[in-house]
Amino acid sequence: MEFEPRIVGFLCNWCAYAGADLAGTSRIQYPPNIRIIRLMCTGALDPIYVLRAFLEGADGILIAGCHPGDCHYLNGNYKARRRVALLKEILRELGLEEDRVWLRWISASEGQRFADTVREMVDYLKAKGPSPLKSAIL
Amino acid sequence: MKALAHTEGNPTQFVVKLLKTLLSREVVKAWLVPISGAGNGIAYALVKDEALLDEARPFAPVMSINLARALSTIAKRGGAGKIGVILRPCEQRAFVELVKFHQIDPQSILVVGMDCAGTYELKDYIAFGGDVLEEMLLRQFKNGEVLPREGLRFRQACEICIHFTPVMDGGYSPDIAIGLFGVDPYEMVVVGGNEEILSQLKLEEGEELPSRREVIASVREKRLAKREEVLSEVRSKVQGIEGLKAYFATCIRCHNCMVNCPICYCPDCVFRTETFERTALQYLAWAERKGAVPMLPDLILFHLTRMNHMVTSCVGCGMCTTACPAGIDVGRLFTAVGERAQALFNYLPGHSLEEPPPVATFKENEFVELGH
Repeated sequence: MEFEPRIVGFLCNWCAYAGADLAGTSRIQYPPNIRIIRLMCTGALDPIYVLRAFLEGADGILIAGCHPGDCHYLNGNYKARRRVALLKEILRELGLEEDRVWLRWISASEGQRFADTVREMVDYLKAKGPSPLKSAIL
Repeated sequence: MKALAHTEGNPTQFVVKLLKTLLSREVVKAWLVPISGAGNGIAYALVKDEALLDEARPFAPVMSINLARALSTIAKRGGAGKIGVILRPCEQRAFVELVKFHQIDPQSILVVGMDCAGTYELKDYIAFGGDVLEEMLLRQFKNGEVLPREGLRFRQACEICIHFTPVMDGGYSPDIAIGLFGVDPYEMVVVGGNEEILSQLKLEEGEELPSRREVIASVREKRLAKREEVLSEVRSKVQGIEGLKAYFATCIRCHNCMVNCPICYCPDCVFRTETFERTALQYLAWAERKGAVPMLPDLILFHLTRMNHMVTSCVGCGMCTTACPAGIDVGRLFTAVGERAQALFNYLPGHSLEEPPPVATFKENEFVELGH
């Protein structure tokens, strides 16, 4: 049986989540591998949540928010970008696969883009393989 | 202003006199200093009684707590008058970070910074005779041949420390800076800092000592080599989840590393909140799904989260390692990762009072290739 990646998505309420919702209402087909968690803003995303998903064996983590300059709370996505940069640097230094954590800007009107991003991530992860943390009991 | 102050064979007495002068003139209301403690050890006290300052041991080569952490307990909100404190360079850098995190009111602290050649673990200091260790180290400042006593090691953080002077080039300068490298402290020490405060001490302007720069440079060169060696070793050891788990194999989740870290100031660390109070049903459900769940869980999560939260301000003081009852050199790993994390933001913790910590700011045009 082919490996089906499990992706955890942290989507901001105003842009990315709305975009994902638009994909749904527009009946755009995209792979079912993503489990979406809605938060008000990517700026509210503490790295602990991403780490928890990562350590629990999520094959990929998608963090999606408003485009820079368009954050509903003005600067939340700038903070998120910096936190993700730091998180990825730490994962890289420790030899943990930081390329499983993606940061994407998806606006409320970009339903197709959301679907394409999920498909892109599923393809990437299928090629890469399952997370090595899946079997580790942590 | 810089002065060469004669210590007349007793550097401790010189510093005690300095403390007493500033206390009696009410430049400070009290001194937070190391004093001789129980069992031939060293304790720390906030001293208001001038006579008790005779118990001060400013040169004792130990650091059992990072005093910046003590300062954030007593000086969060100022207004009670100035408290004087003697800080080692790493404590001073932690102080600067905590000021920037609004945990210390800088107006209420008078900082005396001091050159540092290294510290021992307190238990070694007690076991091998503190006075002997102190004298041995003081005598090594002159030519910078800094070595621990035969059979002992300095604390791991000190072995790789490259920021061991209080005045940082282009950065923060303490109110008073006591220089020891390049001189024999039993003859003299270099005193620099705030003109107004120094004038209270009646010190005469002295010459710049060229030997001081040379000695400091040679110590730094040796330390850099050792640091490279130690940090690349830990980097290659901790690659991948198995390496990380092995590094923390003996960890018992006591959280001493977090408690003793000066940068971890959050009174409500997420790991002590209800977020991590689970029910039996949750544990059983996880055990069912995964086959087994470690008790207690979230060990790696704790260290990685703490790393994400504080490593950009890590000053490498090594209190985490000193405090770990399970013998893990937490500081070594955090210093190794911290070096790279700090480089990502071009940031040196404790260097500048103006530059905001990386976690407290952002730029509109940075990491543009990261989100798209």
